[in-house]
Amino acid sequence: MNLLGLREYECRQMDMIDLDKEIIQRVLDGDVKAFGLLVDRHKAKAMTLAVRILKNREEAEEALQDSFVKVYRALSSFEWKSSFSTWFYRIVYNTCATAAGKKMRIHSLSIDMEDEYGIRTEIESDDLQPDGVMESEEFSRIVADEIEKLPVVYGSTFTLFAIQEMSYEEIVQVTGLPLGTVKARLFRARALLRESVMKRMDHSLAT
Amino acid sequence: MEHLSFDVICRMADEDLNRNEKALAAAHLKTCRSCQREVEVQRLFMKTSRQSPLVKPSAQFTQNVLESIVPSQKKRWYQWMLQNMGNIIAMTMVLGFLGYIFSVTSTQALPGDKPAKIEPIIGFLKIIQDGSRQISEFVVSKFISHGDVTPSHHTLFFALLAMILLVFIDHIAGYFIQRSKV
Repeated sequence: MNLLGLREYECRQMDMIDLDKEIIQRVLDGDVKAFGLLVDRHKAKAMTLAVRILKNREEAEEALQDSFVKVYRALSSFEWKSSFSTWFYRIVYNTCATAAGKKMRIHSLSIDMEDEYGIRTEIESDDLQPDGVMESEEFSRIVADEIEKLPVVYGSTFTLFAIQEMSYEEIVQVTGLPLGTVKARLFRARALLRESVMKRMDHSLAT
Repeated sequence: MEHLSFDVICRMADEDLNRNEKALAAAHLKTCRSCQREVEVQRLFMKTSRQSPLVKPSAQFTQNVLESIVPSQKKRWYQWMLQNMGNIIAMTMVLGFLGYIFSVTSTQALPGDKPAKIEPIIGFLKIIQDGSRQISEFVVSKFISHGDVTPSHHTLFFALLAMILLVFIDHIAGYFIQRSKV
């Protein structure tokens, strides 16, 4: 991200935060319907995260609804020590993790296990596709497809990073995981994604 | 030539390297086409990922959330009554009929000569019957009829009582269901 892009991104983030603050103030002043605006602003991105964790649309929607109710009930105690979005996603993440329960074991995957799988440090560039192919609609579709197929531990962290555009520190706050684990999961997610997308692109070019 | 590690490539793509790391990586990238391409690929991956379609919840999602947070404001008692009219009529008829039977039968009509082991139940029923009859007579004579209290008055009283109880039970149940969901 260049300097201009960074500035633009920061301005957009500030606008988002200001609008969130304004809506929250209205809700706290008794305008319950204004909470619907907050729901509309965050529901699609939050739903994407919930689906990545629960791998089931109905369960994800139910967990997300519970999350919004929790947010509403706790809104008066929110102190703006972190951004609303970080606080909100922490609630969504925890609610979904609880709903996933032992089935998913989001927190149980230790760093050792991640090391066991290892993050590839050597680059094999022979599998890279020619220019143009990787900017096609087919490529976008395959990437979206493969993100959905990522294992929960990697998919949820990757979604927070790529879709919610969170920094490592924000992901640490949301998930409660150590910084090293967050980074390891992100690199692993990207390595897996790269591998699976390239495999499919190869297959798609061959056929 | 030793290539850049995968995490350096990712962080380079994300503009997350510090000045020294960035200088070292940039020097390598000048001479290594393979790593250059890999950084481009990672940038493209991130760009494509950010543009990938979001999963949208159902169309009624926002409405459902609002209904969950303000159930009592959303549904007034008369709205609840209108929505549950069928159930209310059925329950009122059943309970009204039971109330009528209950009020016209005397306590002696109860099977008092049954074996001793069911006597506590009969005693309990007598207390309920006498108590409810007295309450019914009091309410009916006070608010409905100033003359004789007939069985149909008792029926009316029990029917009204049934309706009030239904609304009350529904609200209590709704409250606990909501609490358990959150």
